[in-house]
Amino acid sequence: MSYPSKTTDAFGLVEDNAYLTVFIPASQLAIPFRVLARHNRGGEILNYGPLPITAAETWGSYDGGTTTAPADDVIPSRGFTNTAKSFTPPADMSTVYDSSDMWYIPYDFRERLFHVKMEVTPSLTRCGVQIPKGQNQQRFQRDRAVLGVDKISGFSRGSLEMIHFPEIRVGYTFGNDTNLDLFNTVKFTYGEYMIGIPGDAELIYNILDKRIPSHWVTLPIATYDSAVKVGLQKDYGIEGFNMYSPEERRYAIEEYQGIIEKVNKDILIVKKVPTDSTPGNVIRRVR
Amino acid sequence: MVSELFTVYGESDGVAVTDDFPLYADLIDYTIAAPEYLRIPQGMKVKIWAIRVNGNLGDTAVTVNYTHDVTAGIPVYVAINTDILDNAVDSRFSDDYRKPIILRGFAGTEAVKFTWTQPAAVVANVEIDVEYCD
Repeated sequence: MSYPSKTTDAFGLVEDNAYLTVFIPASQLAIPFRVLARHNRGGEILNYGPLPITAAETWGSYDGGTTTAPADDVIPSRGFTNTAKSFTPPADMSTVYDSSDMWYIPYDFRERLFHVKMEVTPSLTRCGVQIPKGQNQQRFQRDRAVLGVDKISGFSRGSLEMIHFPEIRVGYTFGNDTNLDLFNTVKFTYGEYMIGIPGDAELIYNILDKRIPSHWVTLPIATYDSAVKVGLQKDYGIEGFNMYSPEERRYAIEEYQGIIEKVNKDILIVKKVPTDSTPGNVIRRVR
Repeated sequence: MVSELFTVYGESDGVAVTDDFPLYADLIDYTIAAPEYLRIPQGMKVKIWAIRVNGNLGDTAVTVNYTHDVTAGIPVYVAINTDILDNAVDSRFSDDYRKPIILRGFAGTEAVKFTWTQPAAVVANVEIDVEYCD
């Protein structure tokens, strides 16, 4: 349950015709999206069921070495994922694009964006992500210490909010630091958004300067892997927009104008300029 | 805010006059064996909200035991609470705490277990409402 705001509803998902801004710390770039519509309105909940774990699967152990899952679907005690997980689609969704990863879509789905909120029961389960899959992203003191579910920090317990860009694979990591072999279940609250990138530099500046309400999601990307860079380029033609302070506004808008010209035209929301002949556009005469 | 509330169930074996309850719950898989203690992750707490003891064959005391280091060769447990089922009074005993017993995970090596003690070995059942939270 989230508290509705100007941009999000009770699910914590972005409302139609509201803005979603995704920020990537490693590149210090942000991409503002306008959510044109939510494709799955009324069906936001996906009770996925247990994590995809098979009996005797090898996990790392908090006690050193490895441990194994005692049964299908069970998180082993004192275990953490050695290899990040992808969510295989449920049986009745087997026609999805990738049969090994239900959240993955290729770059030609660029007008779609998955906004996913994952809740794991039991909520004491450690949860983390790898973007792209295989790349641990939690860091301390630049890159001096790599963190994650297998470390003392670098995870959240029980829930995660994630944006799935097309073409970029996300791996999910889990850990269980109790002595209990745990049955578990995953609930996704998600939005399959139809999106566009605003084509108005001033509007983009106002969103990034937080003058215009937008739901911000900061992805845990501390290392800017080439898969992320290339993926964003293939998706949108750009990697994002730099953020500037108010005194740099004029410079920022000029730069944004140049970036907007590179945005893939399939998703660029072209600024519409009213003309005199546009119905409803009344020109007042000054006497 | 992390919170996971669940009920564990245990049964004395009717053989030993004192031992630790094996713990069964919907969350716990016991393909290998039922656990006999709950380890408390670092930075988290275990709250014990209620203890219910049943059995009409004899008296049973249920003790909550806590250790700071369950990884030690011989962990040292300290009793921090005891509930007594007295059959002269009733065959059921329920201790429903308005404020729970709180046990912290300081280093992640802490654990809690539940031990029965009986004047003569009988089968008795226990249900304990436990919450893991941060």
